[in-house]
Amino acid sequence: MEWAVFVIIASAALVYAFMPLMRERQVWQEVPDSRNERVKSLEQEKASFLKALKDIEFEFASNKINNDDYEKLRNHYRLKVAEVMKQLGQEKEKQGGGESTDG
Amino acid sequence: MVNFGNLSLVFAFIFSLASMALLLTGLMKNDRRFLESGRRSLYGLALFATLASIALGYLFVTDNFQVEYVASYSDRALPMFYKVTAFWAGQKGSLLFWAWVLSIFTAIVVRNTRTELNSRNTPYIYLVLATTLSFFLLLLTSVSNPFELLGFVPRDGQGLNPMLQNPGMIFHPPTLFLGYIGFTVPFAYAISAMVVGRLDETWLRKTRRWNVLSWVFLTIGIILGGQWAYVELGWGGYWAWDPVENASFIPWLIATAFIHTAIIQERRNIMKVWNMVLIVLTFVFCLFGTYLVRSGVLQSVHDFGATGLGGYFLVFMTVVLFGGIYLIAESYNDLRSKHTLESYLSRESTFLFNNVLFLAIAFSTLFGTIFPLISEAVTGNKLTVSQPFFNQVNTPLFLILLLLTGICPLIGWRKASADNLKKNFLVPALASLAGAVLLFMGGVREFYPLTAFSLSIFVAVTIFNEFRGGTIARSKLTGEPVFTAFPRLLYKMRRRYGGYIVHLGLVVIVIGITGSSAYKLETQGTLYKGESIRIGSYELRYDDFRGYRDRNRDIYAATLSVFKDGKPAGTISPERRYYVNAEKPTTEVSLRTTLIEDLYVTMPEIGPNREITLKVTVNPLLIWIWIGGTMMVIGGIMAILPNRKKKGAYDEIH
Amino acid sequence: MRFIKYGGFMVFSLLLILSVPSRGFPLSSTEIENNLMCDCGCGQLLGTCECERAEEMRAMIRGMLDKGKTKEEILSSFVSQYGESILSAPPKKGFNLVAYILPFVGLLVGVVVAVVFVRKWAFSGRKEASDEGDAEVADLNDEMQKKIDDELKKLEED
Repeated sequence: MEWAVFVIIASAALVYAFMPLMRERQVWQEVPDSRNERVKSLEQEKASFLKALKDIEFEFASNKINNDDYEKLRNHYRLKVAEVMKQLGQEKEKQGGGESTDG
Repeated sequence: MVNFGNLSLVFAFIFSLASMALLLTGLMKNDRRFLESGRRSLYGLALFATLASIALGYLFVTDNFQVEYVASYSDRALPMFYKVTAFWAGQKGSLLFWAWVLSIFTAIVVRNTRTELNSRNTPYIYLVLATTLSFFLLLLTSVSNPFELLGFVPRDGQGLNPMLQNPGMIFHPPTLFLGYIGFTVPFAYAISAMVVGRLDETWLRKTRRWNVLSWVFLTIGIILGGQWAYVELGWGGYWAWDPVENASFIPWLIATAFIHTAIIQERRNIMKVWNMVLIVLTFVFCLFGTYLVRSGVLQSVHDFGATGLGGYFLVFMTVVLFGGIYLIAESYNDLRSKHTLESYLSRESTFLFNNVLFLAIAFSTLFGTIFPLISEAVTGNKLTVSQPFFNQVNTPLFLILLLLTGICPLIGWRKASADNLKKNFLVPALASLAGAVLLFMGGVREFYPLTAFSLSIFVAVTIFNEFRGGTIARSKLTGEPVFTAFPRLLYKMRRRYGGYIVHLGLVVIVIGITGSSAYKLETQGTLYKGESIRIGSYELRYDDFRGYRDRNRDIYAATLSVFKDGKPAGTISPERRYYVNAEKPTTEVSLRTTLIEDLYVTMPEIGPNREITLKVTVNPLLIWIWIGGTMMVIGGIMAILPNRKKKGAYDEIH
Repeated sequence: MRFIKYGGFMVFSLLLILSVPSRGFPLSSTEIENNLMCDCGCGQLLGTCECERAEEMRAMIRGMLDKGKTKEEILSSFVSQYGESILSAPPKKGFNLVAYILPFVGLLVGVVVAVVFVRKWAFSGRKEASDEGDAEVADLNDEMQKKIDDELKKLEED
């Protein structure tokens, strides 16, 4: 009984695991799409700059920084966001206005 | 069932090797079929590891004493509950538990990455996990097989060590192990990130929950271990700086440092090399901890049966350590990033200093633990490094760390303006000063307790201000009224506020440790019926004595009336237990716990005329250690609560 | 300047640990017990072990205390009998000092390294900010400003 159960489980597992080898050959990695990579990293950059802006807003509201510093930092990161957004726009135009796949 | 278990183990091992071979083939041939098959083999592995574990559990439950492991850790009289948990009482079962849990974690990772097989990293993550698993399964199928049979069938097992027959002991080892095992996952992601050369913060974002959850498990494990020592070992303490305790504490310290700098990398994309170093170290020390608990190389309260696995573990740890160092060196140039901070007065920089402190404590703990070996090698001098050493060296380090915990919230991310900092500093500093003066007048005169208590006030006030200021800020920014702004703030910024709750838990623990170690009262005495013993404001009167049999033990219990300041305050009943299978009797602690202090009574001796020797301890504020520990766990879990809505690309960066 | 401050702080705390004596309570057997290990191989402090061997050793201590011996005398009599490993912490002399001091040396080195890095990074941060010169946000056109605000709002809604 014990043996029968084990043999059944084992063969099911083996079949499940090795089934994919019965298929047609599939190429795993195409040549990496460097443009897509670039869009991804730009999106990430944009996200982190926006987050920084949020942070600064919150730190200012909870009195961690003074008005001067707030203005300076805010301008600094707004410029950075703007720059990244411009680059992103250009990249997307190059790709024919395709949506980013990041999600 | 023995064969079933053995075969399952062998199959699990085969699947781990098959998975490695398939993944490597797939990578070399750039063929997705092999990778898919390697991926599925990991499910197969989890299945067979689970079957093996079920088999071992079944053997325990059915008292199959022909199995050497079962005979060593169980007997017929053992309550069912402990029969099941005797599973991880010894080395072999612990290793099986490791392999089993890791196989389940691996299956979860495989499931979570089911749509990511196209990503270059994924096969390497699987490969690291499969390799680690195959190491444990190799041990289990060869030198440390839990299904090994005795040449005869004994009539009964040797039973479980009475000290392990305690609820705290049931959950202490597995939670600690869950922590150790959990860090395998971020380690695997880190290695794959370096191999593939995708060194941005993605691996950290994807493993954040694993990190924090493993940290939570380590924390629970350490606290439960302390509680077990407190209620079971009967010496009135909870932490002895025992080598095995240290071995669980070191990975906790490094992991805590890692969790902090991981936040910086997620936010700023800096400190990439450092985080790689920390995760490799964390994993190595998790292996070291596992190895130490069950290897028996060092004398400790954890000597519950172990044989030499040392060599295998050392080889594996060396491979992990040097492999990690090699990969970090190899990808050093890619890991280097342009580091910029807006200001040296920023939370980022306080995190750097906290890292220095965590590592200093980890180092002194490690160094103290191995110093006897070093000393013997260098000077030929045999010596012991125990509690007094660690208390002396680590206490100041912890106090500096505590100070930093208080300063950190005063300083905002990216930049703090000096004038605002001064303003924010003022109230907590004054509060802590006022507290110090009051405490001094109240009789707290020693340096360490006074410092610890006033620093605790400082940290508590800064954190409280952080909750208050945050609520006001949110209410200002969103226009929400305060009572909706507060819970929303906690939820929306739960990573940050969960972290503060963890810090608050630390403060509470510090208060408990300080109170119970600096103001502990102890006394000992022998009483005949009707006599009393006094300690502090307590008086204990010996009223009654009885002996009875309960399942697998004979119990002798004394009953004492407790009077506090002359008023009756219940009874207390310390016991001595003679377990049928144990040579020595054990003492059962009797505790009267209040929020202010614990009355802790043990009975080391019973005389021929039923005169009893009592050891009585008053531990002030001790319960706050467990309360603080619980707060740490709650804060940690709060920080990883999932989003209700679908996740955006980056709202995990909070 | 900061260097000196940090360094001074470290030296101060170092001195503190080495100088803080055991607390000035009247000499009790507990205090001595905590300075000794039990000899039975349990790896516990004498005060916490429950074996017979520990009881014998505790009786020896009580005997010596009754004879009016000081803590040092009692400890050194144990050391001469059992060797230095009977002490629960290595005596602060000779090579043993390494164990007491190295963690703090490590901390000091760590702090110095951290200070150097933070200063370096903060410096390059300031440099970047000044390279930006007086580029005003006003340079950004209204359309871009609005886009940024929209993105920020999206972030808020999560």
